[in-house]
Amino acid sequence: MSLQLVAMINGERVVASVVDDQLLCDFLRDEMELLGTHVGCLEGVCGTCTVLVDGRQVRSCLVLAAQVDGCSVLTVEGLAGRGSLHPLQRAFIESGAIQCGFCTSGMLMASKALLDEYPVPTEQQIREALAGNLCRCTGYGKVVDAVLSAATKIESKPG
Amino acid sequence: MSPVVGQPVPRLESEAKATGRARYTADLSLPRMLHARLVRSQHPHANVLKVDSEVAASQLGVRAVVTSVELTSKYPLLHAFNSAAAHAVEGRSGDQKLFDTRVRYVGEPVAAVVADTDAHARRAAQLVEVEYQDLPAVLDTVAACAEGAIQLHAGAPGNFAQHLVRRTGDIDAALSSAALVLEEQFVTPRQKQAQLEPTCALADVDADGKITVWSPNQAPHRIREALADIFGIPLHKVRVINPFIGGSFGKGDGLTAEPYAVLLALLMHRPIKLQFSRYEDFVGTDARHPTRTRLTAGFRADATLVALRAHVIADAGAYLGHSEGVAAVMIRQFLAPYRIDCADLEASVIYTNTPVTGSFRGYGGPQACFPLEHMIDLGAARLGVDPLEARSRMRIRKGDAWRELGPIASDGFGTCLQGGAAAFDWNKKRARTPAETGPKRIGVGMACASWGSGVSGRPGVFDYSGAHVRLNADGSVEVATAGCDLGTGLRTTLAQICADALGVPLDMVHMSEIDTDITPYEIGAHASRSLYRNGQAVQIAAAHARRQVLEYAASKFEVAFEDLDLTNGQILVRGVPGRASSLSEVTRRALVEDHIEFYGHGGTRVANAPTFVAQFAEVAVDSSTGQVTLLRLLTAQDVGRAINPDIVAGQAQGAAHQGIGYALYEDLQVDGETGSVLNGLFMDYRVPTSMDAPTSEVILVEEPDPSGPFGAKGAGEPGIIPTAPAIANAIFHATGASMTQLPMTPERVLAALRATGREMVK
Repeated sequence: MSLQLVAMINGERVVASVVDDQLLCDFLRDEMELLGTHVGCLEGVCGTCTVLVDGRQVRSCLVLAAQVDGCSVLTVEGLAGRGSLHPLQRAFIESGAIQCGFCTSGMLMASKALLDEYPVPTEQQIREALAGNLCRCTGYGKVVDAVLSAATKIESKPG
Repeated sequence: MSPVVGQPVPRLESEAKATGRARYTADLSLPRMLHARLVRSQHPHANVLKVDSEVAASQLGVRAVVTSVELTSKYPLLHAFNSAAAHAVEGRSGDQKLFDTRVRYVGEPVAAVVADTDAHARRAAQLVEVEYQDLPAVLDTVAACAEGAIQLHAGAPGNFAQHLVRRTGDIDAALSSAALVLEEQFVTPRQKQAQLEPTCALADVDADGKITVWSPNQAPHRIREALADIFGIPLHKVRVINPFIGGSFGKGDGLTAEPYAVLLALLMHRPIKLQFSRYEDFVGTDARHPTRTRLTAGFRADATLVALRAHVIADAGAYLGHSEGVAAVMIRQFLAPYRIDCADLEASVIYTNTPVTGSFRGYGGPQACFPLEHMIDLGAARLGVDPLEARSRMRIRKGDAWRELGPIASDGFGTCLQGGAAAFDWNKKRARTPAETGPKRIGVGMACASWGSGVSGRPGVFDYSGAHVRLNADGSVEVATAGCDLGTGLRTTLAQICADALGVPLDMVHMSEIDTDITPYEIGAHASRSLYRNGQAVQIAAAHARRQVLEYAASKFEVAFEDLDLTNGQILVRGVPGRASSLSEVTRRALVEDHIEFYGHGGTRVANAPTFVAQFAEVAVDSSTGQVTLLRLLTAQDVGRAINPDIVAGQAQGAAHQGIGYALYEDLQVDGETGSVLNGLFMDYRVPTSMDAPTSEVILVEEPDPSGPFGAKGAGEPGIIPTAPAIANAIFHATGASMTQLPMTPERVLAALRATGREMVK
């Protein structure tokens, strides 16, 4: 059965017809062509497909597209402002926190959710916040460094 | 111009990855593309009698169900293959068939569903019913070796996939003269790469029958050769392309989804995208060989080794795959870091009805390193010698013969040991008396490994990389190599090498896409060879192009070749400041006036370089629960030259983290009754998270090897090899408990503490 979905996706109003059992990750990737949201396990464990729904982090493989009707969805494609990277993106690049990059989108979104709530997190808070986002390349050290560095930059920005 | 070699420049592709614009295989689409999923055997050993596809085929969106039974009659000429996809020179004996009618492990493909969308294919694949005739199954190496056990493969009596023996010196005399002889049995687990990107392949066949495959593989040219072989077509009819790769660690060191996707594309006359679920990735792609090793070690009074006897029994799983290579490496690793005169080494790799094991970062190294390095600490403790001192005394060093390649030319081993120990504060930490009260015992341990840079140097082994460096008319540069960037930063590092070797700014260098139609031959990203071998090829190709440019400029400027220099994209006449010309003026003039393109080619010659690593671990052991907390891990690694220090340090950190998983958590378990993998999901297979270890420290030792590009050596694997024994040795130091089985779970640590009488009694 098809349903009508109205949502804000990366700041744009989207009206779409979705199949009632379509997963949010499949909707984002196949219908919206937002391929930056990767799917690593389809069981809600690896954190790769993390997106923000109304500001809260969500595993897009555990949510139906129909459930975000009336919500605001942010994916990695919506993280950068016009012409400028988000401080987290810049910090991930500069800290060498990206190796294969497959977990990066999910890491960035989980980190954004953390910084939105705790603008100046401790290393322990970062490690706890990212415990559900698996990375097999970096050993997490540089990812933690990147989030710490981004927090400093966001915090010190005037206004 | 300041050189870029040695600079921690950010990776070329990081912005694409940080913004979600990097495209991985699953992101690609082609017009008229269909989606496929495999149906896999639920029986460990059986003949497939019948595949009932009627229900699945009648589902909405389903285009076809392809079954083993049907294929065998339709395509009797498909060649058997070996998933290791060895290149032609090494020969290719295949024991595996696409959709075989006899299945040998739970998870072997028996059918495929092709549908309009992946969701349709996923659902319909669950509806295919298969009728099996069960055969007796051997689910571990003991059962497989038992008298009268069923034979998995006609050509392998006793289920021996490989049997290797290496003997040097008079082992019995050496053992009887030793000050101390110890014997232990060691067990290592089946570990999975668990890269975050699930396995996937996209295949297309054009009107001329040319096959194009996109997949996250580590060896595009070997994949191309293997596919040409299976389908009986010439190499130029197969094209393999690497999109971005979401981690691999050995998983893609051969065929995975590719031949199935190609077969389905041929049958359907449509492009096919075939994706594996995470469970399929766990059971349907190579894991690290689990092993049991009996090790006998003879020590001199100073705790150096005089003799080693090792018998390794490794589980190959159901097919040969990489087992021959892994067995050879295991044997070699027992003797790699130290001078040991007498050795009796034997490796038996056994077929079982379990998923295939094969290539995984370290490729046999960790399975040998754990027994050897823990045994050294057991011996050193008995003889009252500091284990670091014991290793320093017997380590191989500059001038020693190494792998049929003559003397070791670069030796950073001593610096790894001493520099690592100093940074770790080894002597002080080692001398601490463990607190006798309280539940936490703190201790430190260390372990070493020596590793190669590629596989060159053994007789009959072919190890080659080629590179092209082409100058565009505007002086910008295209570099073509098939060296895969698995997330390692290889492409950035190669661009740095090209920039300096040619004399152009880094932002003028572009790394071409990896495409076997364009990129020259190379054997693949494995054995810590990629930077070392592709770097050599790029450096030679860049120098070749540079020479062409300067020779042309010399003729046009009417100056001697020797008086010209190319640096930072400028051609300079030495000692004549006014006579500079931009590279682009020369390249454009050459093209337009003289119809000359500058095109450098480079390739490798027989060469290898030894790498060394020493790892130091500090642990806290809770003696009431057996819980081990890793407090600190330091890697001191000889990388020859850090072309990009951030990138190579990232390799060492990532390798150590996988080593931590191997030491403490990871074990892909096969049910002893059913042959099913019990924990083939991220929910159940425990990989380390951000909470499990502190940021590991890295000391880069730079002892340039004359054969390496700017002195660089291999760096991808060494850091995973000694991690488990370093942690085991720290537990031993903290508690006196000797851990001989990985992973060192709380249950096992507690049992070992009980054996020493040192568990805390509440």
